[in-house]
Amino acid sequence: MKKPGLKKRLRVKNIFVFLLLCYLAFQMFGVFGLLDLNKVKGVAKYYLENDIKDTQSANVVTSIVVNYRGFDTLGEVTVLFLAATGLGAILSGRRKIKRKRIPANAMLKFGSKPLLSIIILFGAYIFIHGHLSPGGGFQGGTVVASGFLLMLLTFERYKVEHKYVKWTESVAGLTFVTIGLFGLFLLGSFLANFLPLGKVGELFSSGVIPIIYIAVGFKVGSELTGLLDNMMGVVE
Amino acid sequence: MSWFSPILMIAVPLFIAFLIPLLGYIHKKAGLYAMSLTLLFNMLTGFYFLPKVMVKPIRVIVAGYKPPFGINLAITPFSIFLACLISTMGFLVSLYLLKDNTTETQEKFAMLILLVVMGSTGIVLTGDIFNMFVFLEITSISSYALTAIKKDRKGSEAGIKFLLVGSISSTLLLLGIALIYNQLGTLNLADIANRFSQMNPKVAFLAVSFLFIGFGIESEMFPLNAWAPDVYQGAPAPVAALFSAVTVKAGLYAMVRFLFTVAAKSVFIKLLLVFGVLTVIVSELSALRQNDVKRMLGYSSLGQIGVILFAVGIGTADAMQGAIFHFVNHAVLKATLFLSVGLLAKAAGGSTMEDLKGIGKKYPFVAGVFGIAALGVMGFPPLNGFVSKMLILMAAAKTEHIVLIMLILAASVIEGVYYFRVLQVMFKEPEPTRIEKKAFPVLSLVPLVVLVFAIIGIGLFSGYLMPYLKGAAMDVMNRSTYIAAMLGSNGGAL
Repeated sequence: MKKPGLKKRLRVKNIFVFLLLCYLAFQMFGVFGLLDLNKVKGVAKYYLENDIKDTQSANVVTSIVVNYRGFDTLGEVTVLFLAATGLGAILSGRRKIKRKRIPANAMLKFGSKPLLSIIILFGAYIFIHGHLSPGGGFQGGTVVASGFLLMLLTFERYKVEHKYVKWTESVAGLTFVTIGLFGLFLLGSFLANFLPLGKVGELFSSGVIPIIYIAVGFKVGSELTGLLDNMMGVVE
Repeated sequence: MSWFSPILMIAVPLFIAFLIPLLGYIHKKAGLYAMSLTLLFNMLTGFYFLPKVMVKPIRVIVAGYKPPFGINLAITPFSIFLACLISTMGFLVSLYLLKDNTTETQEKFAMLILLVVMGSTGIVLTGDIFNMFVFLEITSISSYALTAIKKDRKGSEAGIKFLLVGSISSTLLLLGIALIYNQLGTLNLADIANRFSQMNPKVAFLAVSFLFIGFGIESEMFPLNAWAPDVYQGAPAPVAALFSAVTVKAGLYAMVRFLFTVAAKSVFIKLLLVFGVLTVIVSELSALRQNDVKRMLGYSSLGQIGVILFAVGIGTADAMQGAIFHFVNHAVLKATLFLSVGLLAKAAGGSTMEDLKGIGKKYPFVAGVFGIAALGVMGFPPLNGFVSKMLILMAAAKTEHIVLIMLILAASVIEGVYYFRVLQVMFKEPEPTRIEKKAFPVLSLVPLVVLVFAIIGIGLFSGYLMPYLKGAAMDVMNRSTYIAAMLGSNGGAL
């Protein structure tokens, strides 16, 4: 289907795009000096000043991510869900790449099993304490998935049970939306914090924030694990 | 009924999308039916709120924080009008999909379709620029997957192209949003609009250029639309119908909302006019040379979008009304064309001119539907395409844009040439013997019948639509009303 004229046209287009991007980059560097990067202002200032009063969460980043802008986070979780689903849909039924693998040595094999539980524990700690200490659902979930990556790399025949991944990600996502709907029904605003806020610094505080972040942790962990398993090749 | 809020148009599809994987345990097709029912719910909700919003815009607060501190939905006439259009088209396409076996991964397919419609609805309903970006991401990522879902060569290639261009678009959008946030410390659209003049003019210009290019890619504006014909050709026909009826509309909404309500920069609105004209010229001329009907429809779709873009670029209320009317007509017409070609191509085994030879004699009904829609695109009275083109023409005449009048008429002639060529191939060639006649499933024909009635009905009774169009156009043109309605009496105290 290729016509001879096509190549030339592409080249003109490429140059055009290149020049446009160069121009934009040049402009971008030009305005760097005009930005004020040191002052906290606008909504950020409000968040810093009112975070404890509004949410009783010690970690202001968490209260922004899960509470003030929780709707965005729901969207981002959906983006991840879509990436996993889309990849699954495109890759399903396709032949996996076969390749030879050198078996892992005994040390790795013995070491990684106990390590897996410790990694999962660590990940769970991060997302359960998301409202108290740095980190949260996304970070914790990634740590959990890295544990499964270790297992996939160590044992050639390691299989992640797809049923469990599916259930975890669905139930976690449903939990998030259900909490949002509860807020709508009880307080008249989607994702509103309808649980008692408690006292700052305690594990059971800041209302729905820890529940949402635990759901996010499970969701991110299971989705990334599913993604890794989808892209794993088959050993000959 | 304080809980019955328009946010359910986003929350319910999301809930169902997460539920669909589990529904597979009940019945193999449960996911598809759930998708269709959810879109029906969305459509009914949209039409329930449409008359209310026309009277008074609704501000929906999310998570209980007043804007600009929290996210809010800004439901104004223009947005609810498009939300109704999007969910209606989504529902009709989903009916078509119930009996369609494009792919074997049906539950994932249902999920992606649901989320593409949900994301587009989110874009038109939200009143927060970062939230808009998130919904744009949802829409485009599901579009990439949907493009490549048939797993053939063409689809995969188009998917990769779409992915690359889309990533550039989202990077630029994010940069633009970051610049605005750095200057104003807020992400709320109305608040940004209110204080846009406080930005450093250089930074403001760059931010608007970034967002212009980013939204330009999403709304398939020339020269940023080279990926689009591949996508329309490579994606399954119902998906292509969904793209031209739903996702492009959301991209155009974002562009219009940003340029008119938020930035109000007349330079960029004039630029829209120029690029719209270029889009029409280039795509209509390219459509003339195509041999594959789906690809031709893709180019024709771009041509119509060019018409919308320059109508928006004229910048008067009349032209805006015509443009918004063309939103509706383009969605209805292109969905009809893609769905009917999808059925014919499935029967014929391909969508090139060769494949479709004489197919009109075998399937006179579906080919006839294609013919009516083609006439609608060309702007034959009394079909719907005529009315909106007429409105745009009159608006162009009023502002004395003689070139635009010539262009829109010339474009209609070119459209006539290539659509009649297809119709001639379909109806004049001898009936093919290699194709065995099979009846199409009824559920696939239902949306076509509804759409044909819409094409004729909108054309004949366009008067009923006018108050809504007028309301939507007024909403775009009066940015101070939008700001006042969304920020309340305090005027965005920070």
